[in-house]
Amino acid sequence: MKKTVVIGIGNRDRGDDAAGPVAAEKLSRLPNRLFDVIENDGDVTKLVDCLGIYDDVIIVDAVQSVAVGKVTTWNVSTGWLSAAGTKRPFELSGHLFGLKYAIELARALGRFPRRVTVYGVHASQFEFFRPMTAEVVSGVDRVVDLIRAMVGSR
Amino acid sequence: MTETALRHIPITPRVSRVAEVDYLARVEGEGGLYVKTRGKEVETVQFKIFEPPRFFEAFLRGREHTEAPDITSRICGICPIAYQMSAVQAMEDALGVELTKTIRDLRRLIFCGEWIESHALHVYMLHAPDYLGYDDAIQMAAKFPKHVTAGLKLKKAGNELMRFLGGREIHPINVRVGGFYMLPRRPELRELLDPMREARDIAADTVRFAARLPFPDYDRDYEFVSLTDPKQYPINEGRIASSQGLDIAVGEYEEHFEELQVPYSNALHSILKARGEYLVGPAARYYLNGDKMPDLVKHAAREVGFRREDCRNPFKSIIVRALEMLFACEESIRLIKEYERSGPACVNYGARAGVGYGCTEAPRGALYHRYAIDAEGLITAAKIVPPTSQNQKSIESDLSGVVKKYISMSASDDELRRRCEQTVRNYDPCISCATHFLRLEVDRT
Repeated sequence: MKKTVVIGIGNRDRGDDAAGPVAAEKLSRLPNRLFDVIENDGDVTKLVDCLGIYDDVIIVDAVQSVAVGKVTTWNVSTGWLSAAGTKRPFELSGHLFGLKYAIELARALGRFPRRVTVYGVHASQFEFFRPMTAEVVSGVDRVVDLIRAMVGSR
Repeated sequence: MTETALRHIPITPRVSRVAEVDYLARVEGEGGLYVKTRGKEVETVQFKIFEPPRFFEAFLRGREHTEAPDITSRICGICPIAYQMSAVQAMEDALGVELTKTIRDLRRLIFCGEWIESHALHVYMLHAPDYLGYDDAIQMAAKFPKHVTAGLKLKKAGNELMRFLGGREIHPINVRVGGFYMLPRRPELRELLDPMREARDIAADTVRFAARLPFPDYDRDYEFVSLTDPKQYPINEGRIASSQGLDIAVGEYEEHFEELQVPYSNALHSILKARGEYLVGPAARYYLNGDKMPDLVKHAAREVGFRREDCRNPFKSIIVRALEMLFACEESIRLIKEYERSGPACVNYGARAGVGYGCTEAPRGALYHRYAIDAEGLITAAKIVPPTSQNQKSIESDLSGVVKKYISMSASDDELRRRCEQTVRNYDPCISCATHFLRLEVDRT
């Protein structure tokens, strides 16, 4: 089983939904990193696959919220928790199925890592061909720093 | 999101019941349902959808004709290839472009990938749970892990074909007016043969799985509409035909079909000018073209006892999708084996003013595009009619029939909602992606 992966989920064409892929891209450029990095455009099958082959999975995704730019962390290793300020996080999705759906599907299939951590960047603008809002850009940078501290580098 | 009034209320003959349905929160569209009944009779059924492509039709005006496949692929995350194919076909029609056999075969091959991944998603993630009494595939996975895992593998095979030929699964980047940006190398393409053979085996199992599901006893006499091709099961080429005798060129579409505004919905309803509602999608394709399936698929259909007439039961569309997945796998293997890299990736053409028409078979049904371009190659007008829009009247009629059937059986509100959701999912519309998409409030006053 592979060790650690960071998965940035989102659609780069849809405003703040680019948060996940942009975070993944920034992390992929780190020298001597100790983890794999994957960009996922929201495909549930690829996400379920990843959950089955890694020991430690870190996911970055935009979450629809009024607290734009805020970063919330969820440890969903043993179950799904909701955080204050987000209404049914990750259940509605711009990625065909919600992130929660993919995670719970992997859990139901018995293909689940030791640890799954989700970093949600709170966002509200998901229109096609619009750039990320400034607050979300800052939130992405904070997530990158948090993940670097979490998994470190050589 | 769904909110339902979970109350069982006995039927009384003169009591009027009104279902006020709010908009369904959805990703690629929103839907709502309004049902009014009186006793056992259904007085009104209104199915509302917000239609995203209208924004894209306006957005395309003033853009280069070469941008059409890239822009329209954003309309739908599940079937981007269909939008690209209808777009390039229409542009090539306007510009008088003649494609090589290699390009046409590769387009058919990438389309097979989309049929496989879309149908696999629908069968295992969206529709099978309805028949087995589960709220979603997560619940179903706990009891049927091998089936759900197989379904994911099937979807992955389709995605891989799309990624290999299109550059990526979501919003492919290799399709262009005149052909492709790059042609694959034969040895690399042949590496997909083994995964596709495995996918074919899974698809064959899927036909057997789907055929064993419990089907409501319900059928209607639809007018089926799809592409037809005298030589092969149609995907991205052909004429437009119907089960009531229609047989027209794609360019004649708007002489026979029109869109109507309905006061209760943002979406337009498509009708045949001569006869009204019609149905597009796998059942229509199979009904009109099933005789052109390869022997492997015909044998699979015979094995499970599926007949052409079964297309009239919309709940059996899940079997048709399974058969089409088997076909797409078999067709992919044939096209991969026969592929020879010859000719240019893209044929040359010159810009000229004109109007062009395109129609291809998205997984959900016929997808029509029309574009007008000026002498500089800029788009001056665009019209896109997706399959879900074309099916709206048929969906309403099916909902009316199903509601009537189950109200007469004294169904509770919860069972009624489930049957209505299942009915809509027969059409695999984009709005059915969420687990619980239908907000059905039954007001039995």
